[in-house]
Amino acid sequence: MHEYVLPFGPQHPALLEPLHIKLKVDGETIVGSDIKLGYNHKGIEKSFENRPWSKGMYLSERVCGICGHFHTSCFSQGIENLLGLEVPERAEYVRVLIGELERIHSHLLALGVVAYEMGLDTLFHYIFRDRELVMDLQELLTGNRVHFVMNVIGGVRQDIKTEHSKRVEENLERIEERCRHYIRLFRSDSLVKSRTKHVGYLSKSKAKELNPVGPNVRASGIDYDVRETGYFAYKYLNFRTLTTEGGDVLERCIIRFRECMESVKLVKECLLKLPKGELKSSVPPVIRIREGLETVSRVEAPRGELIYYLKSAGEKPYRVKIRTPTYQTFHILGEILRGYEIPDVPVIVASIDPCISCADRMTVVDTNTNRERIVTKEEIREGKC
Amino acid sequence: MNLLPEVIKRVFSRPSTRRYPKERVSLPKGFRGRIDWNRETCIFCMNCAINCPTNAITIDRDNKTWAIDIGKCIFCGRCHDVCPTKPKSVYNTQKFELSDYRKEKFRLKF
Amino acid sequence: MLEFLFQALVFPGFLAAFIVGFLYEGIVRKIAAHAHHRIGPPVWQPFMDWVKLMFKENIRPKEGIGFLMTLSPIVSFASLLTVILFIPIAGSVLFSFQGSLFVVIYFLILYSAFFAVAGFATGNPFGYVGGVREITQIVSYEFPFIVSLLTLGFLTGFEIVPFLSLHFPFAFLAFVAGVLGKLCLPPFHIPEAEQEIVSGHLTEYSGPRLAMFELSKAIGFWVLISLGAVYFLGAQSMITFIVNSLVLLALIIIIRTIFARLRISQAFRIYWFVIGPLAVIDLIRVIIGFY
Repeated sequence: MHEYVLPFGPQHPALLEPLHIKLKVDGETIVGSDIKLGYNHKGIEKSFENRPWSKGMYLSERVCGICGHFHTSCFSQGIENLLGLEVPERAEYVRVLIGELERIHSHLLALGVVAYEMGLDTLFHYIFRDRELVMDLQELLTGNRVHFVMNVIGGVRQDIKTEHSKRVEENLERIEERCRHYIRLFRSDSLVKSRTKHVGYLSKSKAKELNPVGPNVRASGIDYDVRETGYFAYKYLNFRTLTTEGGDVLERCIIRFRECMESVKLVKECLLKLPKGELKSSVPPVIRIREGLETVSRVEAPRGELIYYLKSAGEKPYRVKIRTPTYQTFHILGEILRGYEIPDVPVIVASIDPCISCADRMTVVDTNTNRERIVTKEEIREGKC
Repeated sequence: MNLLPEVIKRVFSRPSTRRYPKERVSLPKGFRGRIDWNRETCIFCMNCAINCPTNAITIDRDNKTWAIDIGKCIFCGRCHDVCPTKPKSVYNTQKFELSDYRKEKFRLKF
Repeated sequence: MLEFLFQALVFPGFLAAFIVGFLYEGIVRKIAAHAHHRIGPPVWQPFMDWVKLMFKENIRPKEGIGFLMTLSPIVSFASLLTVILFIPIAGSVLFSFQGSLFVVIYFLILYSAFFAVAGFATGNPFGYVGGVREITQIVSYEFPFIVSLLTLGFLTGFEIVPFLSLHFPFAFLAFVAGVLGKLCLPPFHIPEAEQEIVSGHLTEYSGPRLAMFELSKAIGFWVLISLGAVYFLGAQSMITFIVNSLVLLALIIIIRTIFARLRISQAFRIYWFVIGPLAVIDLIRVIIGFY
């Protein structure tokens, strides 16, 4: 058998978003890989610098379609830190409730994609049918299926009405029942197990060395979850981090189902404990922050830890740096693809739940002087970098 | 093998797909569709045009016209939030069937 | 002479194969869609796809061998259609003689082999992987498939006649597994795995060439289901033939919806070490006369 290079992407029926992996293949076994991102670069970090803070909220929601609420939560948390603003308790609970609903829909999407990559399109359709239950809830509570626009600086924009809580509870009961059914299926169906067990294995020591985030690292035995720090209303809720040993594709899928069930519990608890109060603190119509102030804000998005670094230039940000979880997790593919076969590649790539829209940021590192420099659009166009 | 009972049950049940456009789903009350403007209550304060994140709204105070480009609109509802009148002069309707072949049809003049 | 032409071109020849083959494929897609909570395409959709493909442009990649790329769909289509002349459907058969079974086996292998040639002729790495997988799959499923056909062949003088064989369940199982492998149906839809290697051996094919491949696959449905209905389930009249065909179709649909895709190494192991030995058991039973 001779070695050859099989291109996986940028266009591929298995990929939802463009990315490029050059697989060095020997027969059907992968011996090496070369990963390139950048096809989805939109220049969002630069666009922030042209808008006032309140308009930046709408931009940050559109960094990603499936975790938009987490981006706005993180951004507004950063601005509230800079202003020294206190968010009312009811707003914190609403943020957590909507966030957990978005976590469920994001996990179900990732799991449906893994099922599709295995060739089982029946399971893909069943999981997506159950995901519609959450999408209906999101449309009912916020007015849209994605891009909810729930957060404003200082709190939330809309309230959770009590007349909706019955429908919310019904749908969530059904989702919990289905997640249990799917866990049983993944663990017992012999064909599904043969495609996912012992595939894409990431050991605990390698995980400590390579530092992925999110359910990928929690499936390898390391408990790292930003919700433990107790931001928003998590300090009042019964939250526990889920970890499991195993580190293969099967464990990553099972832990996502279990996190969905945990999110259902959290939403029910929020509905029970929702305190009366204001929805947002008052902010001036034009927000001015002292120049030069900077802050770092972290939340736990469905894919892992999301970090926003903000530096103010008065009415607009001077710099917004977004470190999305996929950006941090993506490079473990070089490690977990080696030694497996071509049919395992789409399953492994889907199991780390990549969101390329989130991950494409461009920073130039000058290796001579080890300084980082952000390139502007003009410099790229004139070929100066 | 575990999928078999569910598959058999599903083959004989009604599919979950709605036969659009013959069947339509009823939208919830807060659904954010296309923006509408109420000429009677508007006081021409220009708040909606100033605050729109994409500058989709154009207002001509002298001729008392109000226009929105739904190609630029992101359906966020901020114009509705900042409108000072009661009842609001700018609001989301439930219209979502907005596609057209011509781009000029996206610039709606009221 | 006229009867010969009618049988070759209309029933059970070309026209019946064309219409009923696409109809079978349409039914499979429709029922599978209902199993997925969906409505699915109308039953005549594969036919419409074929008509649309015939009007599209033929693109030849620079690294491809144009002669082979045009030849492979034609040979696949022709060799598969020839098989239908040897199968007695409701009493009408064109060629029936002792040993016709071997001719059938030969033409069936030719059909699959040219799929692999098609993959290699494109010069595309995906086509190469698809071609290699197709050859591996041929080598895997032909063993139990041929053994199951030979089992019945010993009893019928190697001629295809209606023969009820339900007291040889392993042979039937091996036959069905072989049909799934030959028609690239789940769980053995490995050479055309669209999630892994784009379209496998059919990447770079477009227009009329792809239409001929799709037609060959549809005719494959007709040929193999008819072979199963007559040879393994013993259909002699038209009604039993239709009933048997629908039974086989239902079996294919059920298996299609509940199984994920296997890796080629797993498929090889299952065919050689699980299904193959079971088929050999039935073969030995026939040879020593214990049935």
